[in-house]
Amino acid sequence: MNSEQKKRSWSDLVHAAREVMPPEGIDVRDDILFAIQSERRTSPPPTTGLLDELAELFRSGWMRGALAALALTTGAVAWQGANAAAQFAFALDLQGMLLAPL
Amino acid sequence: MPAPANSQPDEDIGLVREAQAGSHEAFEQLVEKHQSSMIALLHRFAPQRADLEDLVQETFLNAWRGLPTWQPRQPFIHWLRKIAVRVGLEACRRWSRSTLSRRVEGTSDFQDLLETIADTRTPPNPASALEEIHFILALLPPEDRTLITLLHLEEMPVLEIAALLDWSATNTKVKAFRARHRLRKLLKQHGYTFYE
Repeated sequence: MNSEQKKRSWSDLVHAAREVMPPEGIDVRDDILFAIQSERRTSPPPTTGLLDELAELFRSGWMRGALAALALTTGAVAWQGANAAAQFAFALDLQGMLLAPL
Repeated sequence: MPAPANSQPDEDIGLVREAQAGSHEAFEQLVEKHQSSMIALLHRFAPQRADLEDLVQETFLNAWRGLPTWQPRQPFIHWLRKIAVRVGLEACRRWSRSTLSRRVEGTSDFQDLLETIADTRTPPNPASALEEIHFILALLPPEDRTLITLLHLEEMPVLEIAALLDWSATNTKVKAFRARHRLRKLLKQHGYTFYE
């Protein structure tokens, strides 16, 4: 018997291996469902648009308070500014009267 | 066999559309319908039950995650087979990197064991033949291992392998030629005969 006959043939191995049936009773449905449900629970919330985020921001209490305070401050400054503007206009008028004869 | 593109309506399309809309029940039905063919395909890569279950789960989980990108250009089953083959290839890569496989396959004991197996005169029984093949394929690079698994064990044509792995036909033929060459060399080293 020569050495070729002693050795195993790859083709024989492959032919034999193709006959092997996969193990029976494998069912991955429950594992898959569990995994995809877990993914949904742990996944981050979907990203929202800029407008949605702004609307959410304006709904918050602290933002409403801050906006009210800002509006009051702006009104006070505008009132004071209006007085200053009137005085400035009066000064310009005077100046106009003084400069007019020239 | 390459899937015919649009030659007949995809019978899964209704369930896939429901699953795309988020229906777990529809996806469960798809898993039930296709898991046996995925098990048969992935069993070529992983003869051990635990590994096989992991690969099948990974395939369906990847399919679930990829569902929003699925287009009816190709049948769902063809798309699923693509995912399964890629999962098989990734598993081969993981196994080739794992400490255990490096520790076992690199030793002289492993080489001795291979030569002892090859010298056995009794014809192989199917289960041990599959184990033996995986023992040998573990010595090849992951892509070669994947290609030989699909070509020899699954008897898949080169063109279908190319389609499933998104490789060009020419590239796949060259890779298959090189994989066979490396396998032949390895088998010769360990005293096996190799005819195709």
